[in-house]
Formats: sequence, structure tokens, C-alpha cells
Amino acid sequence: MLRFVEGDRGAFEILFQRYRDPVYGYLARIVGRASAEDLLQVSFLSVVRSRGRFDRDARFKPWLYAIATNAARDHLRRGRVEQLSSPGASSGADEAVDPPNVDPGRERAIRRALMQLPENQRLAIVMHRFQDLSFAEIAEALDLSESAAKVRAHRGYEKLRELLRGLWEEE
Amino acid sequence: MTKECQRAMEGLGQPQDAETAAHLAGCESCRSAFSTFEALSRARPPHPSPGRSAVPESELAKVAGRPAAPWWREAALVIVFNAVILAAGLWKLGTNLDNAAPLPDIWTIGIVLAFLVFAGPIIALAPRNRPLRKSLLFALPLVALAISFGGSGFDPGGGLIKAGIPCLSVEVLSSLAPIAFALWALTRTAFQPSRVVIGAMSAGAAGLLMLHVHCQIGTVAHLLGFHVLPWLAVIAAAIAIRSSLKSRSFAP
Repeated sequence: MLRFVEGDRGAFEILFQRYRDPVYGYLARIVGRASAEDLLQVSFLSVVRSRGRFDRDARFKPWLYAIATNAARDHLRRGRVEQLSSPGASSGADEAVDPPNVDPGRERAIRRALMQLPENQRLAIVMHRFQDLSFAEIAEALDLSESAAKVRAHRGYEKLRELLRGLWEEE
Repeated sequence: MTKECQRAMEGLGQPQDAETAAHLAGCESCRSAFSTFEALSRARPPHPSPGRSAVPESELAKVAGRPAAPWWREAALVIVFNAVILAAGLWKLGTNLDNAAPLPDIWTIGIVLAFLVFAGPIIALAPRNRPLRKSLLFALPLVALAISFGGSGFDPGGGLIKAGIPCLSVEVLSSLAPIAFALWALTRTAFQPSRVVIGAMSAGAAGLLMLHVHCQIGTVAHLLGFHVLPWLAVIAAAIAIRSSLKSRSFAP
């Protein structure tokens, strides 16, 4: 990132290739896949436009997730959340990328349960469980203390267990 | 959530050590969190469609070979703009001290307002500094109370509203351009109400400082109704406007 801040265009390509998939996965779990593509682009556009705001002593990954989180929050604030489909329905975008060995019903149930969590718990869980961010990185991305990040994740996991109890008992 | 729970959370996703296992045996809440974590691991990560480009070429072309401008350059521009508005206002209204309150009170409130005018943009636009932003937010009602109750009590007569309209006009009109400029700068970061409040506090403080020096009326009703409330209304309007503006960047 420091090379990019200094004007090395090629460094951006490296960052994009490295973080494109994880950030897309993060956004898809928060706003849905159809919107995630646009927000992925918006997030990297923000990296380009705001590279002067990057703290040289900070880590790039939490900064990028902070940007993606802000973009997703703005998207949700403006009421552009995708309607969670009924169990039988699936968007075209979902079908287009689902590998054949995946249980789309289970995936939808998890996403629906995640969407029922308070936003602060949902973000902490998605970053921690699905994006492999450490609690220190989550704290940096969400501008929290590390212990606050742990509390949010802990409460979120507990609540998620309640929400998904039926699904796991079936298995 | 206890300290032991917090320590156990560090081990989430790692091979369990004896300490974590002992904690889990006695903590239902952590067992629940850990089992949910394990169960979610089976969920598959989504992938974007291949071939999607990163950002428009026109944006990347601006980067090539040019180091990024530091964030404080925009804050400095806002400060200069606030200073120009303040200087123009004081030149127009006159720099004579018409406030009849005790000098220490005048100086204390004047310094606080000058701090808001000149340091506010830096605090509003800094990428970090959340604690400082929080402190300034907590200070907002205190500043409002200090201005309202820190007057001389002098009432030249002429009716509350009739005497108040000129002050209200100065506060609102002198805030318009600085707030517009501050909002422009704030669209270059993600929308955060705390940043907007501080940016608007700062923009409106230039008008308040002019009135603080120049207005001779010192009653609580006048200061509250025609100095402070217009300032607070301007801040509220700034939040509403910024929330509807599109962000140019979502960087913190």
C-alpha cells in the first residue's frame, strides 16, 4: 500500500488481486451478491481516491475492511438491501456462481440468520469467521477496542446458535 | 462476559489448549459460541464473477507517478476558508468589543470558539482521533450552555425578536459558505454523523465568534434564542444534508 501511496500504479493491481475475493465474500454476506459486485468496485475506488488518508503506520487489511464496511453501511442506510428470498427462491446472481456441491438452502438459512443479528454483531462475526480477521484487526476496522470486538463476536455467536438451532438439529 | 471468556475467545479457531478446554467445560455461553463457530465453518465463501475490473482507468491514470496528497491539506483549506469568513465578518461588523460581560468570561468563550473555528476541521477530517471527536461532541452542550449563560445580562430593550433577528441572520448567513465547504470536504470520507457535527460546529463557530465580539445584548433569552439555537439548527441541517449527499470515498 505504501508503494501505491507513493504513486506506483502497479502496486494497486497486486492489492486488488490479493483482496478482491475476500472483500467480495465479506460484502456478499452483508448486502447480498448482486450488490456486492458494485460495492467491491466502490471500495477499491475509495482506496484509490483516499490513499492520502492511509496511515503509514497502519495495516492495509483492516483499513480496506473499514472502507468496505462503510460502503456496505451506506448502501444499507439508503435502503438498498436485497430482499431475502423465500426458501425456494434464489437470485440469478446466486445461481450463476453456486458450485454444484453446495447446499443453497443451508447457505440461505445462514445468511438469513446473520441478517437477523444486530449489525455490530453481524459485522464482527462475518469478519472473524468468514474473513479470518483477528480480533485486533476487527477492532481496527470497526474502530473499537479489541475487547469490544470480542464481546460483539461472542454475543453474535450465541445468538446465531439460537437462530440456527432448528437447521442444525435437522442435520 | 468475563476476562476468562475473553481469553478463551482468543483461542477460537485454534487447537484447544488445556486452559481453554477447562473454561469451556464450565462456561455454557462460551461453549455455545465455540460450537456455532465450528458449525459455520462448513459455509462456503462466495466469489465474484471473473473479469470484473477494479476501478475505472481514468481514476488510476491520476495516480501514476504522483504521491498522494495528505488528508490534512483539505482540513487546512477548510480552516483558511473559515478564517477568511471570520475576518470578513469582523471587518464588516467592526472589531470593537461590544460585549459587556466580564473580560475573563469573554476571553474564555472567545478562545473556545476560536478553537472550534481553527481546530474543528482537523478533528472532523482526521482519519483517526475518534476519542477527540467524542470529547468534542460531549463538549457541544457545555459550549452551548456557556454561551447562553455567559452573557452580561444587558438588555437594551427593543423587543426580544426584533433585536434578535439581526443576530440570527449573521449566524445563519455567515455559516452557509463554511458549511458548504466543510460538507464538500466531508464527502471525501465515509458518512459519520460525529464528523459532520464537528465540521458544522466549526463552520458555525465563525459566526458565533463575530456575535460574541460584536453583540451587546447579554440576556439568556437572546443568547440562547438568537445565537445558540441558530447554531444548533445549522448543525442539524448539516447532518441532514450530508446524509443525503453521495460520498466520493468510503475511507475512514
